[in-house]
Amino acid sequence: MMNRVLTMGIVLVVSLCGNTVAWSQQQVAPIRYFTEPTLPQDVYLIHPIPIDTGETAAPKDTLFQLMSLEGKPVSYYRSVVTEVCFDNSCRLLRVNLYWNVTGRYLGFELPPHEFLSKAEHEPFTLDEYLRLHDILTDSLSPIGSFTYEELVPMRPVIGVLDGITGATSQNVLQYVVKGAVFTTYTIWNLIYGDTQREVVKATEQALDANYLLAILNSASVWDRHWALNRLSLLSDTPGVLKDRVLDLVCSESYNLAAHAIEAVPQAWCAESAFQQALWAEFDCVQYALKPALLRKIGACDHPDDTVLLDIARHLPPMNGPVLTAGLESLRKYLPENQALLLRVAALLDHENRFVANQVKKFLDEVTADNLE
Amino acid sequence: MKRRAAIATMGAFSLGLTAPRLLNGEVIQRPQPIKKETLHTDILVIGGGTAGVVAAIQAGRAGKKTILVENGSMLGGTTTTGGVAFPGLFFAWGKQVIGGIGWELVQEAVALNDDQLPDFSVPHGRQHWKHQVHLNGPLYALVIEDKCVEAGVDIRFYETPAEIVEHPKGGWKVTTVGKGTQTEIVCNQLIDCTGNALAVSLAGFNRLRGAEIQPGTLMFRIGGYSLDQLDMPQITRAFKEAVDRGILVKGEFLNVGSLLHKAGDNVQHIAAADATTSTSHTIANLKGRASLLRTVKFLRTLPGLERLKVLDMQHETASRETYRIDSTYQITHEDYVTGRIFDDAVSYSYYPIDLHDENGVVPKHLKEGFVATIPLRALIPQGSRNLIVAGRCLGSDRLANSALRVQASCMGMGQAAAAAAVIAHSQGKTPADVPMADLRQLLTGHGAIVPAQYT
Repeated sequence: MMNRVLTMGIVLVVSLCGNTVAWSQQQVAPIRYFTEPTLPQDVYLIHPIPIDTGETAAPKDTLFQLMSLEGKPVSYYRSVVTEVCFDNSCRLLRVNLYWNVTGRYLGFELPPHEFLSKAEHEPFTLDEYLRLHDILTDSLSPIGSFTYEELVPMRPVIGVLDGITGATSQNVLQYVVKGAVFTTYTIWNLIYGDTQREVVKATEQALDANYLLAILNSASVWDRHWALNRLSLLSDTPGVLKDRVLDLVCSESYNLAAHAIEAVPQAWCAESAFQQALWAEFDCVQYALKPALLRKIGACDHPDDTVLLDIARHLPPMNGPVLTAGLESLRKYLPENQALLLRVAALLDHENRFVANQVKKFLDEVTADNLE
Repeated sequence: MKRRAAIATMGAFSLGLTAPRLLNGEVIQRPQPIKKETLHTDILVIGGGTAGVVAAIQAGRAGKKTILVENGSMLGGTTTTGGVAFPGLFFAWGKQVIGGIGWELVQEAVALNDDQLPDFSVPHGRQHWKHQVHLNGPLYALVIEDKCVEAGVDIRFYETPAEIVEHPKGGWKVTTVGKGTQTEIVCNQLIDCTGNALAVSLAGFNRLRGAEIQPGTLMFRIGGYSLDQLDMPQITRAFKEAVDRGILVKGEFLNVGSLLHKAGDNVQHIAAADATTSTSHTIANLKGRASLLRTVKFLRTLPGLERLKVLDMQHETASRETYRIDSTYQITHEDYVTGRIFDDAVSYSYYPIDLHDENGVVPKHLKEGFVATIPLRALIPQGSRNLIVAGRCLGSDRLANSALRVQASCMGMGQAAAAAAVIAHSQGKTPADVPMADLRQLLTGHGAIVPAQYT
């Protein structure tokens, strides 16, 4: 059903993916391998988008945007037709490639009676389909850094070949399905090539706060990072989305928490309430990320006085990079804020001479800066 | 008058015969005796490697007067001088298990080099190195030195302990020798971060050593060839024949394919490499370099490798295993793989059992959810006072040690050992007697992650 060419305006409801990893390899049923999508795949409408693929074989093609009843994208697919040749014997291969709304690989599907093959047209085994699916799932696979010519050493490569009898490059072997280096390489690059950027562009055009929140709530790490990167695209952000980002600031995942802090838009910091909410996360954020949180607050254009004073109040037990970041967050405001200055200056008598020395050095710098 | 002038001229000539010819501005320096001085400090850290740097920073930041003695010219040990700028593992099963000062140093070096941290939320599976952090080694050396200086640590390069005796007023008197120096350092607490328990031995305490030890490695980088142009089966055959005929030494490079593919990165094995003394480390260095030269000369005789070159080489052969202390408690392999949480656990350690031998290494991964811990007792030499160790020489059996020895674990130990020494100094106790609550508070206050039951 999905590989039919459908024009805009045709309305249908299908369930695309079903379970987490749905697959089958029966005689007549299409071969399908899918990962978990971000959003329910209740497709109400399929919207064709003409795209420039950046590919030599088919520079113009159609990307199909699968949309919900609410008119929001839920996934994308392309029907790719490519030629695979074994020692001058060629045949067409048709494959439908699917993308999640965030651009990550969602899955692939072969039409009935279609199959992938290796050298001598030997069909893929079940394990090889799973291997291919795993490789395609890895957006960071080193296969992305190889050129076409590097796949098979010292052999002239013309057109789209696969399974040629020459040895696959040693460097490449571990990242491909054995005997199907060009198939693996071609599909991986289709997934992560220009089409992926078209997918992202199309989803970005449909973004609103609730939609972004749904992506931010995804179980996929890729999706969450994707959503964090797009917080600044929203002109108006409801509290529930900000709260979700603040939750992520205290995530147990180091990478996610670090990204959440970094991704907080500068515009959010204009509100005192948000500054206070961000500062309230200080106790729960991972120790190694506390300096980043303090730097974020320090970068706010108009920091809230109560937040600054509270940071100063928390300075005495701070040490090392947290102390440095804490002091730095106050640097600009000390000359104008007597209460703040007194709290910082009190640390000159700190029982830990390292802390006292750090504070003295800091205050000397602040004094010098303001004398200049 | 003429006669007087002539005598004066003769005098000038004769003076010229006995005195050195001085250029403008030069002065004569008399032969200089070795410079002797006595220093007093709260905490002395011996060894500025992976653990020692963290220990010294921790002690300094806790407000203690701290001296760090390093026998080389640069801090960082295996990470810098050894060239293994790839520390790990700091994360286990999705959570950070080693943080604090060690992680801060790594994090800062990564940021300064515009590097990306691995995504630790993605399980590493059997490829644990995916969670190790690539560092710019020289940059890391700059960062850690700066952090030590900032913490007020008195760094003494080119010095090594020659004698360690108990001080009559408690603590230790450590005599170090260096370039033109002999220094008596009187300290209250002594932290041995030599990796080889050298200070422990000099202080009169026993060490343990296996019948065999893991091989060492000289890190280097080769180039000048294209893997895709090589006939690997032929090269493999030729390499094996060379080993069989004694042209190459068996075991130094287990797999020529790996040597060429990795271009020298952590592929060499030097049997019995021991960095403990100048004598043993000299032997390890000579063997490592001779091995590389021998192998390079041979490889250049093979098709496709005629222009193979050495692009870079570390200054010394790094060692994996030498001595372990005879500690109050020895961490066993069973403790490690079952993730035993000790009552006095001060740090986590997470790495596969990773014993390199003549056949290479097959890492044995921990079962899902398991993370080992390090008890304070494993850092304390049996019967000692005011003495603690951090790093690979901690008390452990050989298998456990093969996992405990890695850089992230050493960083965790360095911070814990220093925290214990700091409290011992403040409270007039020995590290074995410091209250665990105080130790946990100090460690967590400085960002260290103390095993779960205490957090």
